[in-house]
Amino acid sequence: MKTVLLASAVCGLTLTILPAMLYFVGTVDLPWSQQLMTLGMILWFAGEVPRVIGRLRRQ
Amino acid sequence: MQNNSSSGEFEREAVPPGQLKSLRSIIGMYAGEHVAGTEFMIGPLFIAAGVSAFDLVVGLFVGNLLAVLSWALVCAPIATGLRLTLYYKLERICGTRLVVIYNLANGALFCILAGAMISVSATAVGLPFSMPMPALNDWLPTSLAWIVVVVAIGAVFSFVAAKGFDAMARVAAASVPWMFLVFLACGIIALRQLGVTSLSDFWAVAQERIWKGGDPLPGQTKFTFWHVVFFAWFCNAAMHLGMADLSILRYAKRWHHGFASAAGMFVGHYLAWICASLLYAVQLARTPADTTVAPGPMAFGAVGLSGLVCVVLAGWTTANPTIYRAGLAFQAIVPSTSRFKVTLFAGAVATAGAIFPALVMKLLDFVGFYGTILMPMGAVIAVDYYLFGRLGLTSDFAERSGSTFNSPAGAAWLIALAACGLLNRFAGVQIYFLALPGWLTAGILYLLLSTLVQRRFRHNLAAP
Repeated sequence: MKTVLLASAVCGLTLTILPAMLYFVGTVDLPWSQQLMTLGMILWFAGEVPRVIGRLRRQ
Repeated sequence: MQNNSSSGEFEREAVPPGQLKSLRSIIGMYAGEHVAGTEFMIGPLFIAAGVSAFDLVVGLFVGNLLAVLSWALVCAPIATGLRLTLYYKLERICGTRLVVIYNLANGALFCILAGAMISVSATAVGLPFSMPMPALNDWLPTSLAWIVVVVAIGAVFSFVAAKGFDAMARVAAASVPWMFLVFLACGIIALRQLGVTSLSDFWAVAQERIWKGGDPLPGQTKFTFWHVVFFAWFCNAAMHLGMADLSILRYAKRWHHGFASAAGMFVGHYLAWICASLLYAVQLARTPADTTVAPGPMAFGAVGLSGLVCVVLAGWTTANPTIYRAGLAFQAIVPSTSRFKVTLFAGAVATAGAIFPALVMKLLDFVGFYGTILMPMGAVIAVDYYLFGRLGLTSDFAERSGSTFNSPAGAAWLIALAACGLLNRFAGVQIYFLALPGWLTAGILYLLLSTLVQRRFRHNLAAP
């Protein structure tokens, strides 16, 4: 589970910055890059929030 | 006085060696603290101030470097030498009554800062409701929707701060890498929209389309290279030369961990400001008449929903601890009041301020004012720590003399502020340049006045 959450967070971060780079080089248009970034945000929080809650519970 | 070590915060004692934090923790703390909602405002305001590309890029670098050196060479050695909070050290030097006045000023300024963060978040929350955004020169609220959104956000932020925000603070800390990447994504997308297609285009576009220099927008102060340097150096003056970060750096293992502040300065106050600035440049390039600085719509235009969430989160995560700290400062004045009530009061003051767009539109001026007011007390601490022992004067004068109001410290603070006021009023020195003369004046005055006073009371001073 821990690995899945970490993978989700890492994918989220990647999908936050990569679409902006792809838009910069002209590979994707703006709406596409924005939707990919939204997906990145969801993955980031899906991976990170449970980890934070887990750490808080352990204390 | 009660010893609060049981709370684990070591408010009234030195941090024990076993509780020191790693360099990584200190870097994380600085990076988190300085990727805030207000960065979305400050970047665009540089363009509104008519700054040129060289002045911004080089001026920010120099100013941030000076800020890092102030943390590392002035604040961190005191923090790691004493390992006390600013408030406790001030109490030992100045006495409880003078610290009450300092807390009042500190609490009020924290409220204004939190108000600016609430306003920033309001521009994002109001966007889906088609709320009209306040313009650059608006002082009063421009619509009922603005007031309703600000009050709603202020109520939520204040309630969470009053209930204790540990979970929120941890989510906030965890969000920093994502927020920073959203800032960076905003900048990359804005660069493309401004016509940059490769790195070699950047400088030409920066000079011709982004930071063009020339006259500022109506109602704004013109920023030169020196404005940028001094602004970047002193926007956190209260923290470094003002010594508020004694409370953070006292956990550092070595004094040179003060250089960790570079993470906050060069990530938050360099890259994030530049990225936010680029968003505003896109808006002005598309509709030159639209000078509104509204972070929500600007970020949404570049990165969509992620931008809106980032603006709200960046505002929330910094407004929460700021309201909490304001509450603590006020509670120190009336210790019998419950922390819940006093934090709600601080949140209400911040929300009331946030209703007026002038608070956030004049953020550059306020930040200069904030540093000027609080910094002189940092000079008092610096003189007490670095010079008193060498000159045969007594450190922690209030504690050793049993005084509740150290008059040299109080006089140094007030005279330094009066001197700054006079410089501003009669010599035309702008607010951005007042913090340094204020700090030096307070330090010199405290040294001179303490020499006079301690000569008279020397026989009454308790042994260290």
